[in-house]
Amino acid sequence: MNNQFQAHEIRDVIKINYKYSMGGQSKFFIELMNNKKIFGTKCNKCGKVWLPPRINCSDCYEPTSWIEVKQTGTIEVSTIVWFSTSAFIKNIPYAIAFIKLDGADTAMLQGIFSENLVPSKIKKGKRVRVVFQKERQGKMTDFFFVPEEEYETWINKPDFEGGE
Amino acid sequence: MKITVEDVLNSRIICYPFKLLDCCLYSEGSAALILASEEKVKELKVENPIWITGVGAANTDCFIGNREDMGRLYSNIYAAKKAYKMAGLDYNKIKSQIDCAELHDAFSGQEVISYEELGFVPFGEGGKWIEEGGPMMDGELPCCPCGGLIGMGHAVGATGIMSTGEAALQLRGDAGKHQVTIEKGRAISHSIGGPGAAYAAVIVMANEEGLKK
Repeated sequence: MNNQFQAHEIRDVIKINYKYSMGGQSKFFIELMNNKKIFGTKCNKCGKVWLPPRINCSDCYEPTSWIEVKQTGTIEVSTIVWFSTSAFIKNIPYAIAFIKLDGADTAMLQGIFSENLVPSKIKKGKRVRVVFQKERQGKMTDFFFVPEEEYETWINKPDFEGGE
Repeated sequence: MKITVEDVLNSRIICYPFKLLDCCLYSEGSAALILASEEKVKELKVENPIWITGVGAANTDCFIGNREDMGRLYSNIYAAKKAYKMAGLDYNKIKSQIDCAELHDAFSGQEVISYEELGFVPFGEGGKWIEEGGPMMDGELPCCPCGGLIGMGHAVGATGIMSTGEAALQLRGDAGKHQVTIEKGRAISHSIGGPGAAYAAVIVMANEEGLKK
C-alpha cells in the first residue's frame, strides 16, 4: 500500500471589506479628487516643501502648512518596468520615476505614460506634466505623468483630462 | 555554468536597463561566522584566525525622493570611510591596500555603484574599470571572487554573513577554486539593505600577516 501523504486542496475565496484613513495626508487626496490640484506641505520653520506631503518636516520635525505645487516637473531617476505583480501586469511596459514637481523640494514616485515609450523619453532632466483620470476616486492612480510634449494628446483622450 | 556577455544581453528584460541575468536569484539559504574575542582566540590557540580590524555602518534617507542625488548611495561612502579609518586604511588608496572585496551585487548595476562609492574608482568610472579588467579574478582588485549575490543566490538576511565568510576564506587561503592571490593580507566585505538600499555596512578584515603590515 502506498503510504505517501497526499494533500486535498479546495479552491475558495475570502472577501474582506475594509477602509483605511489617509489621516493627516487626507487633503492631498481630496484636492486631487475634487479640484485636480496637487498639494505639498511647507515646513513652518525651514520652508522646505515636501511632496509627498508630510504633516511634520522630516528635517526639523516642525509642523507644516499646505501649499499647492505646479503640475509640471523634472525626472530625477526612472526605469521602464517589464515585470510586475498581477495588479499592474496589464500595463507593462510602463515607466516609473521619481519626479520633482516645480515648487517642491523632494521627489515623488509616480507612473509615466507615453505614446512611444523609449528610455530616452524618461531620462533624468526630462520635463513631464500631470494628466488626470476623468473618474477620480481620491487615489494615487487618479493621476499620472506624460512627457511635456505629449500633454495635448493625452488630455484629448476620452478617459483623461488636464488640470486647472 | 558558463554565462557569456551575449547570454546576459539576450535574456529577457526585467526593469530597464536590467535583464534577467543582471538580477540575482532571490533564494533561501544560511550562512554562519564564528566570532571570538582576542583572548579566546589565544586561549583556544585558533590556527589562522581572521581579524576584524574595521567596521562601519550608515543610513541615508529611506525614501529615495528625499535624497539630494537619487542616483547615488551615500550610505556606502559613510560606512566605508568609517570602516577604513578604524582599520587605519585610506579611502583614496583603498584599492591598493586590500587583496579582494566581496560586494553586495544583487543587481549588476549595484556592483558598479559599489566600486565608486567604496572608493575603488572615481564616480562614473565603474563601468570603464570593468572593461579594463580591474575587478576580475586576475585584475587590479578582484571583486566578488565567490560569484557574489548573482552567482551564489541572494538569501536576504544571510548574504552579508556569506560575503564576510567568503572574504575570510580568501584571507585564510581556503577559498579553493576561486582563491585569489593574497599579498597584503587584507580584504573587505560589504552589504546593503532596507528601502532604497538606505543602509550600508562595510567590514575590513586581516589575516595574521595583514595585521603586522
